[in-house]
Amino acid sequence: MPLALMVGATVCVVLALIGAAAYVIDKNAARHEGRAAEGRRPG
Amino acid sequence: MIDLLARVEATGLGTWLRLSPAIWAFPMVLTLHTIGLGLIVGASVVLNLRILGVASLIPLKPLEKLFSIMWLGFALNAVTGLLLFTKDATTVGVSGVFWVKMSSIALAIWVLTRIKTAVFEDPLVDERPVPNSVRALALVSILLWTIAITAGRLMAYLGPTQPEAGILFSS
Amino acid sequence: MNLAHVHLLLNHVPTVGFGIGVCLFLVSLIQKDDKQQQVSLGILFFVALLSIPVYLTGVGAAEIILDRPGVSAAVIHTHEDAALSAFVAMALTGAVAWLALWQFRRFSRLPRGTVVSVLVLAVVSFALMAQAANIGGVIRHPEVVSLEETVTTYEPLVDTAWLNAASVRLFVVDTDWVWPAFEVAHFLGLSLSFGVVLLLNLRLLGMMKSLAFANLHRTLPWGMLGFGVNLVTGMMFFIGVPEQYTTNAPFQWKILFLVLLGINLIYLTSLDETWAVGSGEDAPFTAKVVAASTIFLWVGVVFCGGMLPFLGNAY
Repeated sequence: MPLALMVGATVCVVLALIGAAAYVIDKNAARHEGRAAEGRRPG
Repeated sequence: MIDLLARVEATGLGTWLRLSPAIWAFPMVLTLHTIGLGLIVGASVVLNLRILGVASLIPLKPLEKLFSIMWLGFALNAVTGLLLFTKDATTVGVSGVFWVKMSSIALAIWVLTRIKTAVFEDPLVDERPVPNSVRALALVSILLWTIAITAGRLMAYLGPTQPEAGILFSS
Repeated sequence: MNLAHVHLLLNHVPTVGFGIGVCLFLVSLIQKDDKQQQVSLGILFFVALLSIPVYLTGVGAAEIILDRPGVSAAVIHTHEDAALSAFVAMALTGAVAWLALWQFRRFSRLPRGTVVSVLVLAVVSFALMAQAANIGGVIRHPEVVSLEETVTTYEPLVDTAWLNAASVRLFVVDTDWVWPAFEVAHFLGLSLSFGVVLLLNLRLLGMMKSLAFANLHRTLPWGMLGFGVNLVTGMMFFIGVPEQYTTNAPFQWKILFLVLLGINLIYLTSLDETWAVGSGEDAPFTAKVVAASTIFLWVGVVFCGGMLPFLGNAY
């Protein structure tokens, strides 16, 4: 079923793109936050 | 089996959904099904992402409340799903894509219960890193919901329920 | 009041808005004024958000005037293509401007990379929009065309035909897998953004009270990525089969709700009121109103989306 295959492939690409973008933003944020907010109460 | 499906489809409920032009019939049921999907997959994905390590400043214990959202979404979709099934029982009931969807949902629910036990019945959950086995469960959960959504949408293209395809006016 | 009318009302917003936004951003950098910087980023974000209905009503306006005497279809298409490139640039700028606001809230200063990205993207978007606007004027304003020029074709300064509506349309409609694949992506995007919306706003309404809002705030980029996927796939659907959407009442409500949600998003991203809601604390009343309206509007967006094929062309 080529249709299901193409749809599945597109979905994988979309998930990978979202994951990659979010990972970059996350890592970047972790780096900057380490320097910025110190005493934020846990919770 | 086909007889049973035919009888389900021929019930007043199934017939009403299939034939009624009212907005509150099929369109409303389908729309509520989408909202329910947003609730259960949305809450589930947020929890899973946290388990996988996103925004690790957020403690896990309070997120147990997300399960109420998930069960609400699931209940909504179980009811609307049953209604949608009766509408096209003879075609949907024998559709491979449909059963892929049902299987992945069943598995996804089972994985969620496993996550609930592993994470929220652990008194030390916020004292130490989340074990890899639980992270694996979270990843599997995301994948299963993705398969469920994909199969659900493909039902409109690979057979039983053509009217739900997105392009209405293509020539 | 028709779509052409609305397009006329809105179509100067992108150029004027970005002109103001960029200038204010530059001034805030020179004066090292944080408040000004945040305001300018907010302007850039909101104007970018508004460029969505500007583009959509533009297509609607074209449908209305295309067959009228003295109107050149070729110029309209050149305008539409130029507008598409400008829109893409502006949407990217809006996304980065929002990210900048999020970073500013969390790090109290902007990374240099973000500042440069915002500036470059904003200037490029402004230029592309200005060109699109210029061509738009040629469609129906003979006073901007010199007597020697004809109004049948128009050569833009920057060739934007590489990204044109016609080729997008072909891609979306003439392949059998693109539409269903993008629909699945659209559902995944809505789930992701819905999850984040629920997490943040239910907290403000009092659920999971031991959580500090500032920590939940960390998940906002995921929500925005979900929305981003939906914006891209949604625009593909629209460009693919515009007649399904332009005069479709639930679609118009959906866009209106999204614009209103933009306001709520800025509130949740930047304001002190929500940022300060700590572990165990009750959120202020305004925050609760915003939270409830955000959930309501978001459900509204999904609801209208679901009803699109059914309530359809009510006008």
